[in-house]
Amino acid sequence: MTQRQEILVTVPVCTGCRLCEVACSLFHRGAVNPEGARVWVAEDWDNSLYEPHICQLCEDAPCAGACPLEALTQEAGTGVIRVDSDLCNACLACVEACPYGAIRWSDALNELLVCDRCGGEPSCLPFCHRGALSQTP
Amino acid sequence: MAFKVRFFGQLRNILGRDELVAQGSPATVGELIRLLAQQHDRRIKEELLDEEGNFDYAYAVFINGERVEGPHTPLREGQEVTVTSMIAGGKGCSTAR
Amino acid sequence: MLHRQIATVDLSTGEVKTEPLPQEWRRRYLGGRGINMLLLYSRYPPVDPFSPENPLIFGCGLLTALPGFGSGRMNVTAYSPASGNLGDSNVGGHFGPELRFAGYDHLIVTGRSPEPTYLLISDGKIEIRDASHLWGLTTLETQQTLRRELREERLRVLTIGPAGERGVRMACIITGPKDAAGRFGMGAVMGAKNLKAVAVKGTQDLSVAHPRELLSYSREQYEALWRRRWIQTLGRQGTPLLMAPANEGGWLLTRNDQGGPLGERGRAIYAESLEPFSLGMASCFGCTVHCRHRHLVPGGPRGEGPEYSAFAWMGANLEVLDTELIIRATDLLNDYGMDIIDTMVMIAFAFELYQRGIISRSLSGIPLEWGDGEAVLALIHQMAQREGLGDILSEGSYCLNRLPPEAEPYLMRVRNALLGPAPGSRVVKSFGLAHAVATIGGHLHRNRPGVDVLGLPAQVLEDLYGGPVSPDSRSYDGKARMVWWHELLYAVCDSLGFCRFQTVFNSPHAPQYPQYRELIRLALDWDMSIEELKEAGERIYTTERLLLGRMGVGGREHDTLPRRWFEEPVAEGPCKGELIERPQFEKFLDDYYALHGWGNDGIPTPETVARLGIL
Repeated sequence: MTQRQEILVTVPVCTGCRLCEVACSLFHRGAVNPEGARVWVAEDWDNSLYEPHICQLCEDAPCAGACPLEALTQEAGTGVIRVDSDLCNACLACVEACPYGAIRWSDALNELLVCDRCGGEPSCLPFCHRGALSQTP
Repeated sequence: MAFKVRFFGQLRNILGRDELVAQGSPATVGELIRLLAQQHDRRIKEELLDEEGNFDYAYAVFINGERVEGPHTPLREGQEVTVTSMIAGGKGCSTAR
Repeated sequence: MLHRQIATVDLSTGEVKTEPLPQEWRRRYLGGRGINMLLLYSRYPPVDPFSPENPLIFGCGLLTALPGFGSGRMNVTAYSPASGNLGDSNVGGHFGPELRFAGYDHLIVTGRSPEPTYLLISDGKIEIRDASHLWGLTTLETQQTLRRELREERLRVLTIGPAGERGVRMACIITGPKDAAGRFGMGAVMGAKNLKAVAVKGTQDLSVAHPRELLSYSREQYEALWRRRWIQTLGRQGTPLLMAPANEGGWLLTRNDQGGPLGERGRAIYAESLEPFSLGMASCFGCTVHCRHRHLVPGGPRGEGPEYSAFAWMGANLEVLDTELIIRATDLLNDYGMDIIDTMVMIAFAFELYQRGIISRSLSGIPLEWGDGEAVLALIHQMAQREGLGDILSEGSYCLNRLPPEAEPYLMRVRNALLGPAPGSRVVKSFGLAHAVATIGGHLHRNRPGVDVLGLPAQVLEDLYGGPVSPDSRSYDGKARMVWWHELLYAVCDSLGFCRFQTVFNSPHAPQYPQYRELIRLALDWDMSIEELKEAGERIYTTERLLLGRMGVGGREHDTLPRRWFEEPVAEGPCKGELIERPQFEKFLDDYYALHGWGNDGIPTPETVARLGIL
């Protein structure tokens, strides 16, 4: 993969089925486990909304810039954020810096989770029938 | 003669209309559907009839409240036809979503 | 994925035990509903539903949480305070999958805590915690409070509202804004245990045998489903879409089943009437249909729903032709934690008693006139708070001993369970007959055959059901076969943790045994034949029938319908004159028992029990 894979998020059409989380964790872990998914759906019951969060491949990614240990690097071309787990000390500066709430630290799994576009063919996209995650508006 | 057809459910969504009027003198419900398709929107026929010309089972068609078995059912002046979705069945369509 | 745990919590002693779920149970009862029934049958003899000994069993399906066909589902099983018989309620949302991620497939709660408590379950750990600060809160407030104080945004909670705390017999268990283990009073069982809520957060892997193949198989299946009209229509209009064909076709019931359809007036409460209130759709975990509306009433509540059952049972049956009022009533019931079906059956009963002068204004406090939505809201409050007439109605089927004897014929029930949404049941014979033999009392999700109303050719039905079935929905021919066939399929569907709307409930072409078989292979590496799956369905259904026998309601004399359906034909509309005829009903029972391998007395024969290996 050398190209940027834009994934557009359209909040109002998300129904909260979380098949994106299921597909993501099956692809990355060989198991269903939303805790280990790199995309996740937040619930806003007060506003009756389901909100998917997924990396937007920002130019000059603020998450990578915020990391004091240079554990996060942005891949040239694809824009994907790579995590060096040996360097990461779970300070959560990247989590705070992300404007999209798209990086998450899992205490349980001891892992920093961010979308890597599955190496070019994002697993979640074909499971999002409603188009809350899509490649075209 | 003018025949009014009212839509509820999926066909209303597809057509963006809740009723349509066909002009002509159809003798059967099937002929009325064909007239509507010619005069308004060919999707009416594509949706309602299957390959063999029978009603697709995703829909129920009523004349004055009586469920119609098939397109050959005779139609008389002044009768009102209603089409609803069923919670069931139906052919696929190539333009899902 | 097969190494799963059963946890048993005794609230009287505070003891928590876990045990592995035996592999040999799996192939025989699958999971979820099936294993709940096996647990009830093998460990817990019938008891007073309000007693500490009544076990409340939560069970996830064999494939709950996997990419399947609506895999967010689980079953909650206990002896029912609503009917006094078998209680079992299926619930969607996100709780079932989360329980699996926490390491448990089944949770059994027995005993009674001296003080209000809740259970907190996280990765292999179960704590009994103080819930005195939650007592009295609505179902949504309880969930939001727990999320806040435990600092866990995605905590999943099953909770009761004030109705369950007060022992209202139609109290349900809620998760999320509206998902409910709705029927048969499971919330009253929780209340009797002083158990306000069960909260769970899990982070464990649910590993599968062939992850990549499972991904590609499910993707291919979903893409085919998304091209189907029934998926598209349900995903846009939700279950209320059924209001139009039910009313136009003359199935709809009004005034506690006295009246016929609503005609033109009924169009006020078709699915289209929800559009001004709908913000879009919502779904359970792992869903392909997305059938639930997210709604907003200007200046009023936000929430999810309402469903066909609300439109049919409040809108049509009480003639409240006002969608905004229907939404408000369902939100209120969700807050209190009360089942809308049972509540509306009781309110329709009260309205008819008032109409007939059997109860008077001095008892009801307010006039109970058909169509008066404000009176419905007032009765909901009275029932939840157990005040006045509401206190009597909140007893459900048990209200009769507090009412004049003339009231009895107007209470719509089967096997002492209040009747589930039954429009069309005197017209579409398979619907009506199914109610008589559902193992939980008349409720559509046990066995409703939805396929003979589609006008399909006889051959399509014969191919599907493996024997002749009349395509005429008003005919009795072959309908025993339909009911039996759907009973087996739904038992399997529930026990796998899948949704009814994604199997042959809607369409003869919906996923069923062959797709289930393939998913089991990909997830577990089991080669389970279609015959083996069907036999699991038989085993589960016959086990339920044996449970009914233990409770004294498992014989032929208990398989019956409300007298009204036999004696009063549909009063008006296109289906005027339709009813269930007694001789054909008896013939139906004969055929139905034979298909199950039960005796003519309705009791499973020793040969069948032995063949199915039920201990």
